[in-house]
Amino acid sequence: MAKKAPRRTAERILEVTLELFNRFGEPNVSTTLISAELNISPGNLYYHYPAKDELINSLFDRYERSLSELLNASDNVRDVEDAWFFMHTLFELIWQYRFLYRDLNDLLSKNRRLETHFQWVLKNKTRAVKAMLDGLSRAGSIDIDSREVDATATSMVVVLTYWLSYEYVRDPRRALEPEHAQVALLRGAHHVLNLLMPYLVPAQRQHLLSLVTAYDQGNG
Amino acid sequence: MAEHPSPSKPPWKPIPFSGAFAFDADAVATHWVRLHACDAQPLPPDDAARRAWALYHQGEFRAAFEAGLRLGGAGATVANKACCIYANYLEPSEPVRLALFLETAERARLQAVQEPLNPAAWYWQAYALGRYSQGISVAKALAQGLGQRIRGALERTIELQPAHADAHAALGAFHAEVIDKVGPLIGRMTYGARKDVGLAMYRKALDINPDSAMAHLEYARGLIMLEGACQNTEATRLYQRAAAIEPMDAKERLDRDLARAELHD
Repeated sequence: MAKKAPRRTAERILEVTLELFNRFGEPNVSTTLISAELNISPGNLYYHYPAKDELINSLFDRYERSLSELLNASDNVRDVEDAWFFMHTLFELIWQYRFLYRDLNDLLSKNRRLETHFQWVLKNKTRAVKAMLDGLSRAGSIDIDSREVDATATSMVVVLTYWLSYEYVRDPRRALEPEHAQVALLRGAHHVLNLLMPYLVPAQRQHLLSLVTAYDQGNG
Repeated sequence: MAEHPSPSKPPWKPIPFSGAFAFDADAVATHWVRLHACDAQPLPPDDAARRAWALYHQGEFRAAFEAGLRLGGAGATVANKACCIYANYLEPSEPVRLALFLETAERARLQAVQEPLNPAAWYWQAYALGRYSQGISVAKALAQGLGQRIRGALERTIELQPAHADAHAALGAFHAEVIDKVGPLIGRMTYGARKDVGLAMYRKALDINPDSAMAHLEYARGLIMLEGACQNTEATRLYQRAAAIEPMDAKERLDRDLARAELHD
């Protein structure tokens, strides 16, 4: 028998569960489906994850860890190009864990850990966006009255958080399928950054418009 | 005693290796001590109960469950064990599984009222509630006050039958789960959960019944919960040991296969 590190099964269960949750939505994925998809016995699944909530929590913990690392990079944003890259990376991470956003209210109402930790996620996102605005401001890329920072940051976080729900409502059958990832993410990044338009200095404003145009043509 | 199972209940899934273990009442009696090294259950004096146990050891869990229920008090333990083992290893539907554990917990609670000195009544109550708690998430179960009930029932089992290997493993799992889910400080203050006690319980289970694949599997899971990935090598060793154990009945085979799946994956 090959000598292997344990937890490989636990890892594989998590990977497949994430895929199924993203594809069908967490409420529509039963443990029966997960064990069938993995071709393992129910006992084997329960051994590692006795409750579906534990699968959700483990996936959320991973998301939260990756998000924290990424958000810490926000104070390095100096111009529109950095901001575009930052938002796009953020949307890519959200896309990887889109099941959380797709059924957010449902998950919050039944999972205590998500109920408490998602508030932290929002706060952390807001803090990061404010750091980004601060960086852009110090670099002279935007000109924003300090009294407008809070509201702008909040608006950006709302668009960031609910963009995929918006995409989903527009086209429930296809919006969250992998082949739509690229265009959905670009649209999201565009709309979040568009909230900066009134504050961007002219050259930066032109640059954002040209980025948007380039991507629009690319996906035309 | 509990009512007979309703015919409207969905059928139970069969074991994937039907027919691998042939037992009749006599064979059960002959091999009783080895078959029950896990729980030191006394051999039932009457033939009907032995036949119900034969069904259980063959892996005919539904038939064993129904036969046990028909026997009333004399069959309560085999009915509860069959139901829990089926629910834990084979039932694919989460809601059905949880319902089976809750029903068993209630039957075992009533059994313990009738026979407060019967360790099996306490153990199956604890097992059913413990698996139910894991199934709804341990944090929720603790909030519902199930922690004290599970721990109390396991400690009572061990008090009544100090050679109950599975109860030691389950008590180890109780300590590990509580610490894993609420942290060592709250775990200790609120639920009396301690890492050293948990680890000692697993080891005691293996001392009493060194050929228990289940105790090896639970110990591996507990070690990872309590100590983290640094115990991966030891956990692998435990899986290898569990995978090499020659199963004596269907339940032992389910444990052995689980360990093998872990290593082959």
